[in-house]
Amino acid sequence: MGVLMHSIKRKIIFAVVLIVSMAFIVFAIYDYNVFRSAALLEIEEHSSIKVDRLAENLALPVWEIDEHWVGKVIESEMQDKRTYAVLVYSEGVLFAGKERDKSWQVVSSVNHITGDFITRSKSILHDGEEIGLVKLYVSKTFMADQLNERLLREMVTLVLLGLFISVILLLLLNRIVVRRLQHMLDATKAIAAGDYASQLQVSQHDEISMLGDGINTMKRNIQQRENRIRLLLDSTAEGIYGLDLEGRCTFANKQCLALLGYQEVDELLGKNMHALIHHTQNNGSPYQEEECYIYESFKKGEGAHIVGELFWHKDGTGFPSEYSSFPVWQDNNIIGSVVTFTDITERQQAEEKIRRYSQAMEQSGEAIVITDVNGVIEHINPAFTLITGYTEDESVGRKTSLLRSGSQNAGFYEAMWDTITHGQTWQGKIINRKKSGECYPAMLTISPIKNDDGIVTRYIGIQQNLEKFEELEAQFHQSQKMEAVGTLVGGIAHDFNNTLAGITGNLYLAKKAAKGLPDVVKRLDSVEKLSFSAAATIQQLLTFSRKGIVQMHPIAISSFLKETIKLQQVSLPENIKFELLVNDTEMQVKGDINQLQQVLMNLMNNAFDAVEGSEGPEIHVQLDHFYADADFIKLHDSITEGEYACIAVIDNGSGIQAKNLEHIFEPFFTTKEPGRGTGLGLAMVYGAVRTHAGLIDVTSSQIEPTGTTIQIYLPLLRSGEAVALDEQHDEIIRGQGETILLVDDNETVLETGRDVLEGLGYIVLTAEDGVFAIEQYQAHKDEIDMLILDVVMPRLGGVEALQAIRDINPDVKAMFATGYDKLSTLGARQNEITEKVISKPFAVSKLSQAIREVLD
Amino acid sequence: MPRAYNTAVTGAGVLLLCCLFASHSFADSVSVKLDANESQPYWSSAMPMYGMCGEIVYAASRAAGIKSLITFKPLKRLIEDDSNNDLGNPAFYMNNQDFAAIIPIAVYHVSLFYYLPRHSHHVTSLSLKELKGHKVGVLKGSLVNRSYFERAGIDIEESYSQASLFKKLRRGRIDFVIEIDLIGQALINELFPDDVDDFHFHILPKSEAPIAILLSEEQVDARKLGALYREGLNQIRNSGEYQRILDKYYTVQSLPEDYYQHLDRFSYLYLEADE
Repeated sequence: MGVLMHSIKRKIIFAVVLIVSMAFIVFAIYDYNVFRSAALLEIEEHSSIKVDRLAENLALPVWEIDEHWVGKVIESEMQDKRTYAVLVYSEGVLFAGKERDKSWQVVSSVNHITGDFITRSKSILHDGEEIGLVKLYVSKTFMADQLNERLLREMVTLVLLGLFISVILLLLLNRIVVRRLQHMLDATKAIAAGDYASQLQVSQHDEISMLGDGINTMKRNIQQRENRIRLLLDSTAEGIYGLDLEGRCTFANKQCLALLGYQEVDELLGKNMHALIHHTQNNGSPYQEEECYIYESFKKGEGAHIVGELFWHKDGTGFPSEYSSFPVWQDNNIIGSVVTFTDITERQQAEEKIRRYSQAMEQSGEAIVITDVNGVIEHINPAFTLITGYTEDESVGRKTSLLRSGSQNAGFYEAMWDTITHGQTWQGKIINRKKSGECYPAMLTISPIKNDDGIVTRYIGIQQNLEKFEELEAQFHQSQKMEAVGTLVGGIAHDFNNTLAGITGNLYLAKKAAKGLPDVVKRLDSVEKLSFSAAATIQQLLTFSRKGIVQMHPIAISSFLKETIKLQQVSLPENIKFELLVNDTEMQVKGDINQLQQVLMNLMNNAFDAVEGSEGPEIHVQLDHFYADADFIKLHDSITEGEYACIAVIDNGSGIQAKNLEHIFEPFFTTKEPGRGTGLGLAMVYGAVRTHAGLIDVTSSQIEPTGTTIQIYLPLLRSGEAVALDEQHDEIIRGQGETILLVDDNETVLETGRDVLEGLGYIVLTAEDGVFAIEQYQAHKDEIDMLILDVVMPRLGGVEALQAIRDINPDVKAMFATGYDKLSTLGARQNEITEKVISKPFAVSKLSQAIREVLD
Repeated sequence: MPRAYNTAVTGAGVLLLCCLFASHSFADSVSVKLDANESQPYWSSAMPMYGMCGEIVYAASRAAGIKSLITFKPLKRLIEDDSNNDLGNPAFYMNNQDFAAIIPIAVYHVSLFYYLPRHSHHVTSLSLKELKGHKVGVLKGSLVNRSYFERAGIDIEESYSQASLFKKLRRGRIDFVIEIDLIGQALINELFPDDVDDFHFHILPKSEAPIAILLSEEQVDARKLGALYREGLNQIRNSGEYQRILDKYYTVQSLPEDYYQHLDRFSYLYLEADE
């Protein structure tokens, strides 16, 4: 109803209809009463007439005492349905009578009538004498019905008439007042909506026209004022928009449209701004309106200033914003809010950039110091404190000269200042002094910091601590040196092995030829021993250079250690206290048993030599499980992170002089007196450990308590069947007349080998390289039972030659004989090789055993 | 009884009540339609055998071998219809219609009724002098010469029904009622069974009149039928059946002594007239 009555047109309609209706209702009531009175009067008169007539009509029948006749007269009267009852009395008693029952049917009267009736009585006269009385009861019901019917008709007529009059009045009012007011309402709505184009036409001089004039004037003023406000709003750098209490946009300035990517303000007006531009949070989750600070602020009546939340462009992309939302008050009520916002993408990027710079500076591993133009420290980073020992409190405000070590002369510093004061960057190696007094090398770079005018305002110095670098550099040089020595030694050993192979082969043949000359045989035996001794030396050199033959198998390291130590312990003097401590019995490593056995023997021998002559000599061998973590790897980059078995040989001997430590793994370096050491022990250990992808670490002290600890780290094997130490024998097994194709590029080896093999009962064919070997095999493939191939040969190596021969006969039997170890000669292909490999020089017994192993 | 009074009663035909008609047939196969007017107890469709005269007609017809059918009609139609056979007083119908045969079957008398409680003494004489100053009620339409009574100082009041006459008589609104004797007696018995003894009457002298079967000129073989009816009537009179019928109706009043004389006289008169 309240909404309906907001319209003046509706009010007028309501008033007109009300007035007309009231008028007609009053008229209807008045008319009803008038008519009712008239009807009542009429019916009363009618009743009087009727009773008079009845009295007359009944005079004769009553006189005649004719009930039937009287009854007829009464019935005739009862034809009038308004007549409720007619009672005729004669001589004081009811003579005849009729009345109506509830269904208005005529029945005989019981002379007991009650109710609201018009009652009339009349004496019945005969010749002037009363002979009876007639009583007439007339009902008002039909009068009321008639009245109601008439009232209904009248009301319908009045309603129609009222409607007609209302319509006429409304048309008149509409033309004179309402339509003009409607025009003004439309005009004010247009003004409210910002449309100032329409102009009210004022053609008359009445009050409404004056009102129209006023609206036109008001519109001009509002337009001017709004233009000024709009100009101000559109001139701001921030986007501004207004919200009503439902969160709908009430206005938006140009910058708002520009920032949000809209063209027309109509795209925003009336829209829910949260749903439009603020719907999703920075993490991508939906942003509920009730959680939004904008709405929360103006619902609470407080301002809000938020930085960093995303606003969303029309195209669906978001941008970080800084916005403020303040409630708009009107008459102590909040009617909405005004939101101002800016796109802070660039600012955030700049801040992010600064943050990154700051983090980089703070977290840099290099010491960074910022000074003023006089070299006074203004800022340092944590690395500066870490390297120099000076905290921020101790350094800020002091000059950089606090780091001077005196290692550089004044000219050095003058040149440095000369460079940087000219706006150039200075860089150089410098020795500085820590707070502790210790000097350290550093690579220092000093750059001037210029302002926007190009004037140097500060300097930034970055110094890299070279202590570790130089240490690593030394390790690298040592590693390079060891590698170079290994290569040299390996090359020499290969050639020497081939020579020894020829020598030992010939010695074998010579001994066979001089079988009847014992003295000759004895000397040849001596030569042969020396040859094999030389071969053993060569073998150690090959191990150092990691070119020896290795056969890697899973080894239970604790068992291996116990067995090896048991053999070695026998030869230790009783005065030396020996102790073996195994802390983990489950570890396995993949290794060459012979090499590892040799490693332990060498270490034990060195320990024995170290403690010899000392008081209370002790040697401890300890086996531990060790996990090489990242920190350990940083110090030892030759191994990878993981689990290792650590074998430590500890003695309490005199220790190793520091100057000798860097040489102890070099071949032929020894501090022992001549004849006691070959200088190859630790070299072999070094090579073997490296061959096993392990690490050797030496700590030694010549200061009490003196002693040396050598730790060997071997990578653990997760699973595998460990092999045990096998026994070797020198039995020579003869051939059965089989044919062997011997391939070697060394002529001596080839000839000697042929002689040895023929001596063992084989038929021997020879080839100088792989190409000849293939030709020979093609020519004698039906005769050849086995191939013995050198690996490294000119033109075509042994491996490639065997592959070609396998194309001819996939089942051909073969073995390789090489002066290097399997690893170095076969390289990456070693995993593809399944054939047996024998190292040169080889003992005839081992060669004969290997051949039979292949053939059988 | 004074002559003027007798003349008025008989000559002027004081009461033109219901008439009696008769018909006759001469063969059993002949059936005669007879019209009567309701006039209890002489003619009444509500009574067994249609009243006293009905019983006589059927008895005579049965004796004569005639099949008679009596139908009741309003008196006016009976009078105006000049082609039918009527039952009633011949004097009433003969002004408008000629009849081939008239067979009187009964005789009625007119009586003067009064209600004793309204009178100080029994009425002993029926002279006009006795009635002077009294109000005498008659059935409307039955009074021919009203001025005669008025000149005699008798106030005549006509009523529209015979019942009203006796009600008014009892109420004292009229002093006397002139009515056919059996009709008056029957009404008193019906209306006032408890007061029958208070009602008294005197048969007016020379008030006898016949009730006859009047056979129309247009009735086939009317005279033969008349003879058959007379024969039948004689048979039932002789057999005593006629008397038994009369006895059923004359209970309060004994049959007038000259009843059969008057019946014979009327039969003779109308027989001669027929011839």
